[in-house]
Parts: sequence; C-alpha cells; structure tokens
Amino acid sequence: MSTLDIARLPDAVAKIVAAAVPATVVLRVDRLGRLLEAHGDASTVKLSGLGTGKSVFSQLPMLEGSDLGDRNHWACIDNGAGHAVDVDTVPGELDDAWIVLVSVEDRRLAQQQQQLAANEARLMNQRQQKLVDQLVAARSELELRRREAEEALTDKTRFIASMSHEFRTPLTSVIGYAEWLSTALDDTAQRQSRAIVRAGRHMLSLVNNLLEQAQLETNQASARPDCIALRDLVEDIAAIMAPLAAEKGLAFAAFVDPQLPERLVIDEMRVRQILINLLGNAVKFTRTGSVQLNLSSQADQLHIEVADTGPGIAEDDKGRIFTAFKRLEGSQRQVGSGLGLHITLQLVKLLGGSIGLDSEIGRGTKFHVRLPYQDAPAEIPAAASEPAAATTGQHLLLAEDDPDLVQLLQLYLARAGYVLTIVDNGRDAVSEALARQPDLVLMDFNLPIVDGLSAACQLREKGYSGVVVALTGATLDDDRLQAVEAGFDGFIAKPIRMPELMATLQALLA
Amino acid sequence: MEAVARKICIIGDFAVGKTSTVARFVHNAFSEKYLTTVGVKIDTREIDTNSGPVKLVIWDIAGTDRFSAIEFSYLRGAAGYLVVADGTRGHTVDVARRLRAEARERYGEVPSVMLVNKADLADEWDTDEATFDSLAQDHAAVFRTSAKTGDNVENAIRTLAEMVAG
Repeated sequence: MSTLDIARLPDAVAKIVAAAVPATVVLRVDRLGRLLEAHGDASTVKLSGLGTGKSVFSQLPMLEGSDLGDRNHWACIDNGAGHAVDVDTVPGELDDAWIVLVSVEDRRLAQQQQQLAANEARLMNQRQQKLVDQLVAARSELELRRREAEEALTDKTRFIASMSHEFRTPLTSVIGYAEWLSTALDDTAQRQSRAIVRAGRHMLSLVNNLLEQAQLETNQASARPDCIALRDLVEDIAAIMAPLAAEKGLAFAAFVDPQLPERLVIDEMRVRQILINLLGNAVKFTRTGSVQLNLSSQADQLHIEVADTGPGIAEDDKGRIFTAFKRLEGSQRQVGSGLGLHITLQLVKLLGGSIGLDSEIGRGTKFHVRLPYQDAPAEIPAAASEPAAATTGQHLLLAEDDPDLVQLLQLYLARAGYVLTIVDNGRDAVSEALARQPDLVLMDFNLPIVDGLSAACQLREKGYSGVVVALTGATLDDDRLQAVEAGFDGFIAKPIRMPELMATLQALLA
Repeated sequence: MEAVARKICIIGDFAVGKTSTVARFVHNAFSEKYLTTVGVKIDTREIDTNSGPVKLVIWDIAGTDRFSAIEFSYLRGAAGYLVVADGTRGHTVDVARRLRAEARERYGEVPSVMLVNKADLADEWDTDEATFDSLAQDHAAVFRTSAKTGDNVENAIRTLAEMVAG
C-alpha cells in the first residue's frame, strides 16, 4: 500500500481526499472490481490485508450491490471492523473506478450519543402518550358504563313507578270501599272493614317507600314546599297511628309546641312520610309501653322527636340502620322492606335537615329530626281542610276506565251533590267535555284510545276553559310537570283519599 | 460452490429492534441495552438456500420514519428488504408501511419480508389481526418475531434469503 499522494489522483478524488487527510484510504479498481492500487494508511480506517488483484467486493462487503461505474456517496458506514467511514465511488477515465474511504468514527460516536438521547426522549414521550391514551380510553369506558348504569337505574325507576301505578288503582278501591263500608255496617263489620283499611294503607306505605327509594336513587326527587297546617298534619298522622298503637296495647300521644306557627312552608308529603316511617317503626317494634311524637321549634327548625319504649338499638347497629335493606337481627326486626329508615334519611337530606337517635337496649329509642322551614306568608289563605258537605249540582265529567273505582267515586261524588257524566276513554272525554261543558273534568292519565295527557291537550286546544284535574297513580315529578304542561289544573294521586278529593274539588271549583 | 453475495437492507422506525434482529441472526446474541445506530452497520452471514449458498450482506440502516436522500442512497443495489416494526408501538407499523412505499417508489419492486418484533411482549401489543392481514398484502411474508428470544428471526430472514438467492 503506497503513501497517499494527492497530486497523483484525479481531480474529483483529490477534492474528497483533501478535505479528509490524513484518515483516508484511496483504492483503484478495474471494471471487474479487482483492486489495482491502494493508497494511504489502512490502519486509520481499521482495515488490513487489502490485497491487489483480488475482488474488492469480497474484501469490502459494504460494496456489495453497488455499481462502481456510478458516482456514489454513502455516509457513516460501519466497514465491518467496527469503524465508521464515508464511502465515495468515482468512475475513472481508464475503465477503472476510485474508491475513497474517509474515517468518520469520531463523528459517529459524537452523533450516536446525541441521537441516543434524542431517541430515548422520543421513546419516553411515546410511552407517556400511550399511557395517556390508555387512560383516556379507560375513562371513556367508565363513562359509557356509568351511562349504562344510569339508564338501567332510570329504567328501574320507571318500572317501579309503573308498578306503583298498577298497585295504586286497586288500592284506591280497597281502601275506599272499606272506608265506605265502615260507616254503614254493624260494629263487627266496621271493625273488619277498618282492618281492611289499615292493611290497605300499610300496603300503600310500602308502595310509596319503593317508589320514593327509586326516585331518590336517580335524583329525580325534589322538595315541593307548600304552605301547610302543621297541626292538621299531626292530627291526621295521629289518627292513623293511634289505632295501630291501641291494637298492640300501646299508649300513643302527639304534642305540638305552641311556639310553632300555625302554618309553615315545608314539603308536606315528605314530612308526612318521615313521620309515618318513624312512628310506624316505633309502633311495629315496641311490645309494651308507649310511642310519643313531639314537634317543636328549635333554632328556627322544625324539631321532630319520635320516642318509644321498645327494645332499643345496640351501639354497633346505630350506624347501620339507615342503610337500605339492612334489617337488624332478631325476629321482631325482620318485618318490612328494610327501606323505611334509609328512605327517611334520604328524605331528611332532601329537605336539607338532619337525623339522629339516642337509644339504650331495653329502654327504648328516641329519633330526632331537624328540618328547616319557612314561615307562611300572611296573605296565603288557609286551604280548606274539611270537605264540603254538599255542592249545588255542579257538573263533573269523570274519565276513568277502572269500573270499581268509577263505582266508588260515584258513591262519594253523588253524595256530595255533583252531577256526573262518566266516560271510560280519552276520546269520549274530549267529545263529551266539549259537548256538555262540565264545570270540571276529573281524568285518569292512563286511559284507552286517547290517554289523559293527550286528551287534556286536545281539550285546551279546542277551547275548553273549565277545570281539568289529573287522577293518577303516577307520582314522579316528571309526570306532574307533564300534567301541568298538558293543561291540567290539579293533580290527585291514587289511592285517592276521599276527604282530600272532596276538598281539592271544592277548592278548584270555588 | 461459492456463495453468491446479496445486499439486504433492514429498515424501520427507531428502536423497533433492527440491530438486535441482525445480532440475533448473525451472532445468535441479544443485549437489553439500547444503542442507536448511526448511518449503517454492516454484518454478513452465509447460509444455505435451495438455490445454493448465499452470503447475506445486511445493511442495518439507522431508524427513521421517513427516508431522506441519504437513506435512499443506502437502499441502492439491495436485493431485498427486511422491514421491521415494534408490536408494542402500533404507529411503527404505519412507519414501516410508509418506508416500504417510499422504497418501492424509488427502486421499484424488491422482495421484502415484514417482521413485527417484540413478540416476547405480546401482552403489551397494540397491533391487531387486521393489521397483519393488511401487511401480508405488502410483503412476501409477515412474521411475529422476537430478537430477544430468537422466535422467528431465522425463519423470517431465511424466507427473504430464499427469494433473493436465485
């Protein structure tokens, strides 16, 4: 191998070599690739044993596949000996070719460090991005599952509401007829019919609890505060509870603090349910002694206290009794749906209040409920609490498809002096109301042919200006809203309590 | 019978395991340490094929997601391509597709075999069956390989060797 003499090289080759001396090797090969000449220090590019006359392709595998008749430049090629070279091929003028190998090992090492850092950073970014993508996908999946669960819950609520409606219609007949009979039969039959009323009301409270629970689960429940006569409510509750307590030989008493206003603004239906649930439990689980209800005003809140002399609740159980479907051990505690106290807690929260209890095993339990309320505005007149004894022949159209309920309503409404027109579907309700112009239309939601909502809409569209009252077992807030939008003036939930029905009709027709 | 020499280029995105695949094939070795390739690293191995012995001169070209003029020049004279992607990084399959298309545009039809590498990390793969089906239309064969365990590396490169030996 001769010393490299730039002056002896062709111009194109010399230019490449000039920029790279001394770490350069120049080879000349013939058209078949046989090595003719080798110039420079081969050790600078970690090559050894280059032999003239032999094929350059076998000595330098990196040249395999290349056409030495073309000008080529390959940057930074590991020459097979762990050394990086730039390779140039330059066609010669004598049916030969020149191959220039320039050592770039230092450049390769520097570039490798730089590129390694850059690639590792990119890999890290890609891994992070992948994790982020996985998180986003997991969140989307969770969101999908949450929506599905919500939809399932809504479906369940609708189902329970529908079942509730189905129960309420026959319960209206059961309770209504039993109440009617209790005023008309001998003492024994009256006691029996009152038992039917009690059983019916108990069943109704179970239905109400189920429905309330379903509404609370889907956050469909909302407080509906209204001006109420608190003492009337307490009397009403006492009238329900006292006979139940008396049957078990328990003393029952209800007290209302005179400091409490006569009228206040609060959600009567929810307060009623809270009282019924707490008092119902107290009566149910107390064998001897008494059950007592106290209402007072403390720190501008309604304070409800329900005290019994029952078996008491163990310390460990106090935290569990408000959990749904949790019933305490012991045969006495296994009665009921296991929803009462859970719903009571939810209702108290819904009304913005709090609930707690004191209890001692063998001595009894005292529940405390505190509920915020507002004073009733002075200008709101007191609602009629007593039904009218009789009307002056006002005309009422009843649209109801349950024949038993129709017969029951006929009994009460006729006795109250109303003139009745009865239809059993929505289409006839519209045509009869438009033809006869009754003072009031009392109409079920779920009527055949044309449902109650559509019928109410049609009545309003066709100019009927009388009062239209919804009569239904549907009690969801959405249903009430729909009723108002359809043109209903009032809403009476089944099972209908006859005194309330009469009072509502009288108020709406006044 | 003297072995015929054939230039084979191995291409793909960075860090998909090209150098490790060549090391497994040529030296039956594997290193966990990641060392990026700068320019081209050349290795050779002679194997027997149905057409006779072949000396594979394997150009391990630095990983890139797109060829520049420099990388294109490396492909010149290649008898076949080993195209590599990383099964745990799905987008490297897209890069492999792009590189294959660019090479075809520049140098026409050259036999190629696709290696979806890192089969030893199958749990972390984000490459599905549909992707394999579509890759099969672009390459003579598609292999799930692991340079770490050696799975299918020999098969994949021998498949290409058979195609370029004749």
